[in-house]
Amino acid sequence: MFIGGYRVSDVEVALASLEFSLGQIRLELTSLQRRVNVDEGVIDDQQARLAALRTAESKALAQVALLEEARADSARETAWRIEAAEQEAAAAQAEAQRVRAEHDELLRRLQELTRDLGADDVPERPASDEPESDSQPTPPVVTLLPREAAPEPTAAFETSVELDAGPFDDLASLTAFEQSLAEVPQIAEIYVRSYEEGRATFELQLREPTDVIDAMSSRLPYRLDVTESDARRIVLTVLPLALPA
Amino acid sequence: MSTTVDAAIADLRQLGLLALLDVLPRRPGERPEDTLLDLKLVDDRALALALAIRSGRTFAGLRHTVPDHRLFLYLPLHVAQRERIIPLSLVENRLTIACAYLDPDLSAVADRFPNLELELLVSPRVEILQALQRVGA
Repeated sequence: MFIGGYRVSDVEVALASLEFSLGQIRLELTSLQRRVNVDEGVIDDQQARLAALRTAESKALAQVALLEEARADSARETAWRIEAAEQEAAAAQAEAQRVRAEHDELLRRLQELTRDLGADDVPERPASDEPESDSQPTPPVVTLLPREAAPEPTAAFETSVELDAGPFDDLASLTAFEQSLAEVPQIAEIYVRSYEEGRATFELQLREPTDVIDAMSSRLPYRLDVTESDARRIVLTVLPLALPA
Repeated sequence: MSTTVDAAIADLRQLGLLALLDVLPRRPGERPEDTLLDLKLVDDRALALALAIRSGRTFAGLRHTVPDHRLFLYLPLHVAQRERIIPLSLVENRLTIACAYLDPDLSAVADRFPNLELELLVSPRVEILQALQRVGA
């Protein structure tokens, strides 16, 4: 009688073969596990580097913003200064032209006056330009030469006059002077434009062109020493008059 | 600074401009100058002159003054309106500012432009406000 089944030897061979395959798989698995571990380490490193780079990037952006702001400030300031310098240069040029025109006008008037007086021997230029000679008599028109010191009082002022006056040591003396000015009938309006180191600048509005120095001298209870005056500006020193006993 | 303001107020009192001040209570948290001006016990010009003379600063009238709008790059308009100040000129590194009070808060300007030298003048409050209105006009 034949009993069916596996032979022991065949089963043992098959089992040995399976165990061998299993061992191969285990080895492969171990190797893969190591590779995964290594890759995970690399990924961690890369992530740390990425975080560091992002921090550096944000710092750099902040610095760029600061630099941009400083550059914009500097550019604005430079532009403003250039424009101010140009305006100043234009104003200086206009002033130079005005002074030149004034100089020419003065020379012209000097020549006219010389002609009117019949003083043919008066030089057209100031005497210092030509050598002096002992044999020639002194021309009688020396007073016609332009005088810079000791300004002559102007007879009539324009209706808008700047008055530079002082000294005023305190508010009371300044206010008292201003109130005195208000009593001069020729003055329509008084405005204190500035006060610095004891001197005040007033803007006076006159009712009509008039000799305001004369009007002030006769009305104000002050002694007025005029040190400079032209049609638009008066500079004077103010001294209160002593009250009669 | 308060001593100077008190001295200026004493000057005004001597001139008879502050007859009512003694009977008026001070409003808490407010400048005494504001009380005087808001109640019209003294005019802006007299107060500014008194402050200037007492503090040794220059007084500047601002009637018809139109400030250069470019100066508000250095002194922002909202600071000017809040502190009652106005920039008048910038020469070299010196920014000249007219103030209604002696001690305006200029920290915003000093922090932003530390190299700027600030020169403070005293001007009437109403003229500063009128000049500020002319900036946008």
